[in-house]
Amino acid sequence: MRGKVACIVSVCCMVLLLGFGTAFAQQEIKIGVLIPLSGSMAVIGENLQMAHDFAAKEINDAGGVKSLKGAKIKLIYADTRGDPKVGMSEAERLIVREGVSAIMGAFQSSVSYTSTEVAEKYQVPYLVPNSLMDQITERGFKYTFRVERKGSYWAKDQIDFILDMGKKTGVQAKTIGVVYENTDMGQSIAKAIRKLAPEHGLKVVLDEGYPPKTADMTPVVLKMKRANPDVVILNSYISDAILLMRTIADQRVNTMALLGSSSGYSDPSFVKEVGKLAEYFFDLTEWTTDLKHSPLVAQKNAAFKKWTKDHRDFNGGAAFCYASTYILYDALEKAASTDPKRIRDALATVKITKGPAMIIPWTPIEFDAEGQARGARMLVIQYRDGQRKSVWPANIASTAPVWPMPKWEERK
Amino acid sequence: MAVLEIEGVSTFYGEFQALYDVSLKVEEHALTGIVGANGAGKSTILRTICGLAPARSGSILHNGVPLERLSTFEIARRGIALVPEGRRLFPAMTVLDNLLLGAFSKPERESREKRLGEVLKFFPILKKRKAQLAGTLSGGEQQMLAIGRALMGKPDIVMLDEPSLGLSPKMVSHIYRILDEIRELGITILLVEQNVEWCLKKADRAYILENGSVVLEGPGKELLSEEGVRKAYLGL
Amino acid sequence: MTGIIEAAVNGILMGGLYGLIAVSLSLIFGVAKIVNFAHGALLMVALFTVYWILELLKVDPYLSALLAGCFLFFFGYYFQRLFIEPILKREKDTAALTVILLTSGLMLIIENSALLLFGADYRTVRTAYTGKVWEVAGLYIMQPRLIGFVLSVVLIRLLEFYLRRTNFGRAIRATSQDREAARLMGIDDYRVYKVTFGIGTVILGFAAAFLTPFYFIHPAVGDLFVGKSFVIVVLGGLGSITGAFLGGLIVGLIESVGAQFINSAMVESLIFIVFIACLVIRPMGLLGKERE
Repeated sequence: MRGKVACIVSVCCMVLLLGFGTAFAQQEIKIGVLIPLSGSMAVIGENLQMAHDFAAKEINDAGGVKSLKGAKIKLIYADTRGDPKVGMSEAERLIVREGVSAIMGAFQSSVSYTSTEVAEKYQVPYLVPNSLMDQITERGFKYTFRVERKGSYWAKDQIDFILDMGKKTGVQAKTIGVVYENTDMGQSIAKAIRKLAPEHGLKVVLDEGYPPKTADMTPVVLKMKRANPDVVILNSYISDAILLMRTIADQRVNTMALLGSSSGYSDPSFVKEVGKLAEYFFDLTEWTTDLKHSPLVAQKNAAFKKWTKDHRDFNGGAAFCYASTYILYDALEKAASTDPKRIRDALATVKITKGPAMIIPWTPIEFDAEGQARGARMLVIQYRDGQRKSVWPANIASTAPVWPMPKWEERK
Repeated sequence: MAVLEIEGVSTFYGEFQALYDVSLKVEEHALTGIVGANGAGKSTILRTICGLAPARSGSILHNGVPLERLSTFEIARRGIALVPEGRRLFPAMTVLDNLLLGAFSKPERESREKRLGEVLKFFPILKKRKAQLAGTLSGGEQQMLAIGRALMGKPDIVMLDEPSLGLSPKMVSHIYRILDEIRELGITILLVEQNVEWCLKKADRAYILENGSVVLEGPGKELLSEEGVRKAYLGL
Repeated sequence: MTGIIEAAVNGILMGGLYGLIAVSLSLIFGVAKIVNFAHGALLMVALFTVYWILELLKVDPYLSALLAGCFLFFFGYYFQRLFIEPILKREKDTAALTVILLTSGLMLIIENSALLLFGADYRTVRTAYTGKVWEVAGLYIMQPRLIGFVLSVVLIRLLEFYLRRTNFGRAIRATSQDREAARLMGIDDYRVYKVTFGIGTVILGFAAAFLTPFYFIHPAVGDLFVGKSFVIVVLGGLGSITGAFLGGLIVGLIESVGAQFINSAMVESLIFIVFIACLVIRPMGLLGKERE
């Protein structure tokens, strides 16, 4: 008798467990995240990973996706190693093997460009937080969405900034140089600058793409010194950004301004490693911690800082990854489904005006027919006492810019 | 007493058996000769002794110490010097460097310099060519250098593999003269030579090899007078 | 014109370091016939060794080279002993290919271990020489580069002296020319390989110490130098020490001066064009020996 009872109880337990098990499985929404997690880009990837993780944790702690009975978001990371081919195969793996409902990534333009193709083929929505190559959203894809502003507009913003500073201070730049890593992202900006600068009376006196994995930046910097442009627009990843900055200082190349294009120049290790040399450096970026448009910026950055082990701030890339996770969350709530097609339709019609996604500096967040975020805008920061201070445009800036930069010889 | 005692040695190159149960003895201060046709396994015996072609079975004793388990360099350090076929000099190094390498395992400066003096006296031509690269020497000079290099290690026994191969007749007789002189110094020699007549004439004891086996052995002169040997090897 | 001279000076200074790194690769290849794809990873290990010595002991970066050298010798010695030697001993004929696969695998393992241990952060060391510049007739010469170059030249002279004039140095050269004959001289060829690998790693330690004052340290930093090193080694002549150093200078010069005339993205191709042209004219490399 006793044995029988025990038997029945245990069978019931198993059934219950199984039931819970399946219920639990249903409560997870798998989202793939493609980022570089090894190789020289690993430091960038890890930073973005923390931002995604932080957003997912907040969402899940707040009860998950309510329209799906509180289903939790589960992020599945795939390492692209910064390689477009690996990006493709990893995207395929995420979709086919892991069965993800949507993908975010892949930081580098070249990797996003190839891996979005895979998602398009399998009809899985792909939200691109960071990549700026124009063509990513210009191929008529239905499943690709981008939060970042297009690269060609970055160039426009940079030129606008240079002209604006000239007007404001009376110290007008006449010549510019553009120095970039010779990859999709760098070429994308350089191409736009070559076209736009002359239209605004700026002469391009230096147009230098250097290969990835350049061991010595001195040749490039010497060339910069000889061309002597008033402003140099730079576009680099991290190691090259560090080497360039140090070499520019070593060679005492004086310009009105050095203007970066985010990426390496916005990475925390840049200012950590070059230290004082970063002072007065301008950087076109999507985001900073001192933005004034919403109190959420300060709040969420503080929360992130508290949550991360090394107490770091958001940088632009991370803030966009954080916001993108929320955009996707919003679409999931709307779709009330884990079906990639329905999530895609929801993404195409989001119009976000509140919530943590609003840490990015425009309202509302919505996508045009190409999948490009409408209203995406950029801003310029200047490194001051090691801090990234927003200086442009004036209406959301916290600090007045120093233009031109002091000469190297005059710095302490 | 025998300096070197080889007992029932069989050696293989992969699946191919090169030596069948070979036994031979090398007596102190004597010249021991090994003759035989091409491919009979003469060189293999020397390579087996040196550990370059290790024996699969059998024993090799040097002054009573077994060599089978030692590496080539350890065997060389025991004072067994091989003047290999083709000389195997270090072509991009100077004559002097080649000689000094012969004394690699006995690098004490004083005794090394003394031996170097002796060897250079023995081979005056090498003294002249001291700073030249070994690769630029003539064949005969190279052979002398190879022998000189072997002598630099103050060896217990010198094994020579076809020292006259590829040399002009004049140079061959010169090398033979040198071998005579070395022998007079009391150095134990194990010689593999294609010139059967010369070898048997000089050898205190000789072994005739056919297809990897010893078929005849005895004092060189005795073998030389044997009908079969004369027919097979001297074409008489 | 000043710009070109400045570029040439920089090219030679940087080329000296490329050369030094290539010398190490060339030595290991020339003696042990090991194609060491883990070379970049070993440079990274050397950089981290120097980095930690500087961080923990706060000594002069050039002094740290000696300390790092002691550790790195044994690192290289046992790297050869534990990973490569067993393959050389087991696979007498096919070892060359296996070793390539092995060193490629070890590269990944070492780099990923470094990533795990030290993280993906970029590190730099501020030394007394960092950012110091000598101004000579309007040219800015970066102190750490000039010092590194001069010491590289001294180091290579020392290495050549060691190989030419010492008993073991001769044994190393002998082994590289005829391994079997070297054994017959009583030379322990496997020990020669291990010591050579150790010396090669020590050279990397010096290169690391010369780089550190003006460079960064990261688990993937070796990738920036390793491809170039292979080009330089072949250009200079396989196994030739002076050739490798000369090859380094040439590549450094092309890279720096070439970039003043054409886009730096094209300079890489220029290096390869010069490289191929050299090999067509002298297939054995600049200072390589003819093969018989």
